[in-house]
Amino acid sequence: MIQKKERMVRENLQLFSHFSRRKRGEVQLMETISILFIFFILVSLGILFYAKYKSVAFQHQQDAFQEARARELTLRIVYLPELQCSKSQAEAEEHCVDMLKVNGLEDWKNTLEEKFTDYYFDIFSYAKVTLYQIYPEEQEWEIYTPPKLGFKSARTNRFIVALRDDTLGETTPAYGYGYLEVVAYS
Amino acid sequence: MSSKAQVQVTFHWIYVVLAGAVILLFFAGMVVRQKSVAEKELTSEVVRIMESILAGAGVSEKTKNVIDTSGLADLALYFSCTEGVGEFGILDGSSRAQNARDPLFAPQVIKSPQLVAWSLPYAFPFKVIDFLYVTAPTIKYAVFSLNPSNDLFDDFEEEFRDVGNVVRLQTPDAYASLASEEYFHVRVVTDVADLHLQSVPLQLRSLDDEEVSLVELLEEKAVYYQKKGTMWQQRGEVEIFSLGNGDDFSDGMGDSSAKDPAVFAAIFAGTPEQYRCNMQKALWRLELLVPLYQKKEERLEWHYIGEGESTGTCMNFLTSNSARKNIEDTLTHLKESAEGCRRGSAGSCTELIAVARELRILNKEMGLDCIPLY
Repeated sequence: MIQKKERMVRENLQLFSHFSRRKRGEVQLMETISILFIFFILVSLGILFYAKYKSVAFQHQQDAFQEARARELTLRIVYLPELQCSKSQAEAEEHCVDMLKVNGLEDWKNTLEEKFTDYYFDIFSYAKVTLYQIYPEEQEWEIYTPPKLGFKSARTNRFIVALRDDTLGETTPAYGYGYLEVVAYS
Repeated sequence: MSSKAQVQVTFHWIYVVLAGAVILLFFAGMVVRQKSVAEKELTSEVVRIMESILAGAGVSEKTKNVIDTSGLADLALYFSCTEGVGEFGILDGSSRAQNARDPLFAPQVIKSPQLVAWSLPYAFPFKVIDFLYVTAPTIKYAVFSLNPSNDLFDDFEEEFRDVGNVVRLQTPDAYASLASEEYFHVRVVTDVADLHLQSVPLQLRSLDDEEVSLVELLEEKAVYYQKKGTMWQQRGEVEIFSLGNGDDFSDGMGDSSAKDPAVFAAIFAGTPEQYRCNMQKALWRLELLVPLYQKKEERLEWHYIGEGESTGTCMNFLTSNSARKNIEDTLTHLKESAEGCRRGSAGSCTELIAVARELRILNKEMGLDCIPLY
């Protein structure tokens, strides 16, 4: 009887140790799988975070680029020989628009036809440039307007200029003032 | 059991090492790829920013801008112009900027922690466009003239006194003992017609051929030479589209010290092809501007007719109703010559300079008592 009990206990112990080894193995496997799972979740979160950061940084960069482009465009317009006044031969008068040229602009553009669009699109791309006269009377002239359908954003810059008309003054040119409005589309 | 455990442990470690290696390779690959992407982003950012800076420098007439490029000191920038399209970027890089409208005159390659951008308005005879010159303190300009009162060279030396890369040579001995002094490139600029027949100065002979060049400014042309061993080899010559200063004005009141943009363009241009290519841009702009001045001329005519001066002195300057040369015809002639010259007709180019000078005289005379054209 005792021997039988001893045999039974021994068999139970063997069974138990076999069972507990299996259980331990399964537990370890589960541990490894869960560690890997959490690891890949962390890596995915890291990648998502980085992608979001890059996307936001790219957007900021685009905005800064558009801002710089709008400023550059305004500078170019203000110093355009097609609009600038000149004094004493070919020396340019700063921040001044020659109204005799402006008044002949539409005819000039019609004369050039496609040459105008082809040439100046390379300089200005999609933008709208308008000259507004405030004094002596309010008036406006469209200098450059290729349309951009479906634009995502538009940045506007304005620059005050003197408007010189050599034919209006008595002995010296007459000056009015106004501003150039430059809208850069993207 | 013991050997089974040993095998198990061994496989366990192999598995760990393999998994670790795969993960490391994955991240290493990501890092290498990101590095390459970041480098490309950096070069395109650099080119974009430079484009913006140069655009701003271009419209800042008669202003010299020093651009800090110390972050690019190890990189070389290249400038070229082919078939009317200018291009610049980082040498051996993929990013580049192209511009078919704005003339930019610069050496072919610049490697420097600083760039110097200088702009001058180009008038022919009215203002056509701004010329942008780009150079660097690492490029030496040795200006050699036997004429002590060469105003152009005086202006050049004065303008670049703060940069310190323009040295004036006034004797043949000074030329013969010209040294490179660690400059990246040495360009000799001279008005001596046969300087190219002399051998290259002794101390420049050890430099690479591409690092030494010579430009002879003669009357209305510039001739380019490249060092080849101990002698100079001609690269090409270009016609300088300049109206000159002083001599054309009937009252002799021309400004003889004014900086001549076309001549400076010849000094700064890396190659004769670059000069010609950029001058094409200026001629094209001139071709587009002449009709605008024709419209302005029409408005002036209407103004004088409206004032009851249809046969007065001022109208005589403008229209073709009189025997003398007039602005209306001269503008038509100017447009035709500009078109012909841009298409490559050498005769038209010579005529263009003459017509532009005529227009300048007419405008000056008209400006005394009437509203000038420009």
